[in-house]
Amino acid sequence: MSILPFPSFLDDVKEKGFRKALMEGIDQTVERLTAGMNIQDIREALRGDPPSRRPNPRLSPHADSFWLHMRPGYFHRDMTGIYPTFRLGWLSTYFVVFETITGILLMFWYTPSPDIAYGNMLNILSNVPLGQFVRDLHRLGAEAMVLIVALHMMRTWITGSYKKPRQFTWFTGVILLVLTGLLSFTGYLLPWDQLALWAVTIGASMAEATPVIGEQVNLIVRGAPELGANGLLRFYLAHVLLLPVFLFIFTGVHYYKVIIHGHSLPPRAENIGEDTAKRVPLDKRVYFIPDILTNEIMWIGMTTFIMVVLCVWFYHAPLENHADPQVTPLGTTAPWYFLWIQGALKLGDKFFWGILFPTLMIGILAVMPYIDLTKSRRYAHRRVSLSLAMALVSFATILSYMGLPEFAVSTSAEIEILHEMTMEPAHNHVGKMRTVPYAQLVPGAYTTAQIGAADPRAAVEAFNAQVTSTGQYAQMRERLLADHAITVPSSFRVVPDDAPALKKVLEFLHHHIEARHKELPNAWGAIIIAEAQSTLKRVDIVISWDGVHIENGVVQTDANGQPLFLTTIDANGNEVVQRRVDAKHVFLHPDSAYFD
Amino acid sequence: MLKEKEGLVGRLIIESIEGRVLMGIVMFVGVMVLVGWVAINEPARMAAFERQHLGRSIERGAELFAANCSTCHGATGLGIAERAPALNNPQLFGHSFLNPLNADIGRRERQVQELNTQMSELNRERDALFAEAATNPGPERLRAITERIQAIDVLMGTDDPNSLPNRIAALEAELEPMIAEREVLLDSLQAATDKGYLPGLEAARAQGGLALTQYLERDSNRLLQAGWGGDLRSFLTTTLVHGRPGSQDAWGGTQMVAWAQRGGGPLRDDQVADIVNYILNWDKGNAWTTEDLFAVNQFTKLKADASMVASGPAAQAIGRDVDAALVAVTALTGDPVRGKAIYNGEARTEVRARLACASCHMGGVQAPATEVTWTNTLNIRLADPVNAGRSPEYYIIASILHPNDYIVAPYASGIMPQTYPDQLSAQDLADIIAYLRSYAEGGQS
Repeated sequence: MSILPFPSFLDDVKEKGFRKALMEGIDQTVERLTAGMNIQDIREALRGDPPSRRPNPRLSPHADSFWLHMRPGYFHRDMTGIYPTFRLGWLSTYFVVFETITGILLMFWYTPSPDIAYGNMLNILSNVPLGQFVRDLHRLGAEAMVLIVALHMMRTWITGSYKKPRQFTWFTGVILLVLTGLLSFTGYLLPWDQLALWAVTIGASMAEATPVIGEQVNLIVRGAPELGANGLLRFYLAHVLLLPVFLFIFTGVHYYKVIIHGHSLPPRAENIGEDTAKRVPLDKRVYFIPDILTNEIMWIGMTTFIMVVLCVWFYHAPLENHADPQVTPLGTTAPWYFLWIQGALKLGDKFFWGILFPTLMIGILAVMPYIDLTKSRRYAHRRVSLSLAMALVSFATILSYMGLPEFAVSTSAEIEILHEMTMEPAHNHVGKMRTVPYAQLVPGAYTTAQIGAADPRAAVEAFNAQVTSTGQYAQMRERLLADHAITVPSSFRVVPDDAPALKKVLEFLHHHIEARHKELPNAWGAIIIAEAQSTLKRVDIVISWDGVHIENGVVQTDANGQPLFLTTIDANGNEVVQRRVDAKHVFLHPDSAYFD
Repeated sequence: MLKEKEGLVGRLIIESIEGRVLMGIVMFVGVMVLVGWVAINEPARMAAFERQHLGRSIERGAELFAANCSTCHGATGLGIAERAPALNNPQLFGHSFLNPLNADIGRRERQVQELNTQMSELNRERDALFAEAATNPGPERLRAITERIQAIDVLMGTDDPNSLPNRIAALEAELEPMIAEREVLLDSLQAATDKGYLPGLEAARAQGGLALTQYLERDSNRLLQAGWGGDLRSFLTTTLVHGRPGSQDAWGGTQMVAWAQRGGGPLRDDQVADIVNYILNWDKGNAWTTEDLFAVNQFTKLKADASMVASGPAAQAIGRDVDAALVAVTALTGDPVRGKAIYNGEARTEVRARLACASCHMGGVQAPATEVTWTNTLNIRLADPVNAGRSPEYYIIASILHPNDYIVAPYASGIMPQTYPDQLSAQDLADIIAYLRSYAEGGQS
């Protein structure tokens, strides 16, 4: 007879005693939570014993539970190792989850507005415990995900796994590849620093090359003729809402197709034209519970551990200065995974190389399984296909190289050298002058004339006399004052012995000027240090040289191979070589801690 | 038949389930240990980041200051005579060379004042008591009144060393050498007062006493002088954001304009913060010396010129239509003298606005220089095919009414205010054009 008006645990206790009733209650709860496995079943699975009851309880979670119904009950043993998948598909999925979690954490601290976004980044870095760490994880995960998804595609191509019946799986995979690239690209803009603004500006520059509706497309993408408040909001919404929704949908479709058709076996494991992935012999079955499940959890641990180690010691997400549409940094590039488009753009027409070519590349990839109808997946039978794969990799690499500023972008020598000396930290690189310890920034004027001289003091004395008599000093002084210099010392001096780092930078300047002696004939460089505030130094870098005619980065020469100098008429009416001077400066504070 | 692959390639990396479980546990524990380790180090890392960010902010601020502010405030922030006040200036940072002496004097002067007040109150009380005694209040009350009057007499007399007059005399004896010392100190600051330090000092010295002390307490500190309730950072920030409307009255036509984008200027808020950080880095705390004070070229001016207040009816503003404006302007004769006064902010326009064109159009740093505007328009700008067939008047009117439509390198777009269509009448424009043209005709020096 029941104590309560309905059957309850108390009835069980009355009937069986407390201990037994409790154990049975727990066992039943576990069985409900696992959708079919009780404690004994779990214990057997984790011990590696065969299941002791029939039907096999380890299969019922796959039939009855939501999460495991997506996963097959067993895998083909040939598919459980590194080869042939290299676990790239699994890793892609891992990073989708990883990026979602770290991304949501970052969303708590971010507002997509040009007025606030950069301040949010500073806050994340300076005021949010583990803020920098989570941002590093998210950024590194994003870059890793692009790479892994691309590798996953190459692997599928190489093992011929896109062939019938998996054509549509491949097709959705190409969509996922594009979505991954776009997700990474839209995220690139969000910190609203110089790196973000200019990389995205270049990446989005193709939009306006769209025929007929280029202007409209550009407006839709950027929200205005140039990236601003609307553009940032659009990129943000695409990054956190639109693209993830499509990514999750297509990930679902993609994985559904993978399970429907089974993981494609190594090419040699089956006869040509056969697809035996779904017919797994009993002795080849590796059950999800417990083997694959424990394996995957171990992989989650290992991959996360590797990401954490990288972000603790080896990788920090870059943050440059606040985005400034008026200041274009020298050597701006698109994100590395879009460099190939930037390279292609250098080949010519913006519409052809910027729009048609990438669209064609993606399009051809997407329909490849419907074009390549050959049956064999054996490597030996697919020489053309594999050659094409290698050609694609080589082509992308070459185009990416061409996308770098080193390729076919000519900047005049003095601008490049001054940039090398003074640049703000960008692309893991910082101006040489900024690496000199503050204590070694001894006020004074120093010249490259002392470098390599047997007697530096005499060399500097001679240099002082020379620049004064030729008017080069006066020219330099005028240039620096136009730059709002604080003071310009009247003579140069030898670098003090207790400033070896300063001397090294002077040598660096000297060698760079020497290396470009064709464009910078009879040149000298100078470093002028002045005290701006008691804890702030101003450093002016000067290059003075004889002007030569330069066209397309090439020094023009006369019939004898002598350079054609720029000339001017002096006060006496004589034609003389035009002396040129350029300068750039930095301010340095002891706390700013730039590292080379 | 496929050969069985072994080891890493063919099978689960770790074959035994215990191995996998162990490996997974080790990895998760490793993650937790590392994250914990990062978390422990976070306060130090965040503090280091703040230091580094402040350092870099000061560097960027120095850059912005050199490019935007140094023209008026000097390359080292010491100000330029009759142009703009110093920021590298102990007065701005509230360092008074008269303290603590002035504070000591003030404390004693206030004590003397308090004692004098007590004396007059006691006097009044005694008078009242005498008056009451005269009304025959009865013996008890009379005895009480007598006792009280005797007590007051002791306090007001000179026999008791603690009596009020004696205490006042003692304080005044202390004050005398201190005030003399302060006079010497004030005389020694003459070099600075010549440059505008402590305006109104002469009048305050003539008044002397507590009035002088209070004047010195207030005016040797820029924030108190300005009546600013916040701290120096907010004072600098608000000045940069909004400018100093009306400052042209004190500075011969040059105005501190609004510099922040939200105030209508060119700089973003983070850039304003950079400049403020740079200016605050001039602070020397207690280490300011009189040398620093004497190095200042120009101190703040407070004077506002009443003659600048507008009078007369407002005229019609010119509007945005350049062609219509050209027709209206051509029909008028320009007065270069009035044009110059408008240009320099010395006179109001007919629409009662005050412009300060010369604040930026000087020296050719932030904007093209005034002297060459007319000749450059004729020789260079009109030679540009974009301006083909236009008259110099048209070019100048278009440049004033639509400043962003045509930008001359190396100047930036968006710097020049776009409010002139509402601030100028046709006559004003004609006068400004006449003024600009006068440079080409040799009428200006």
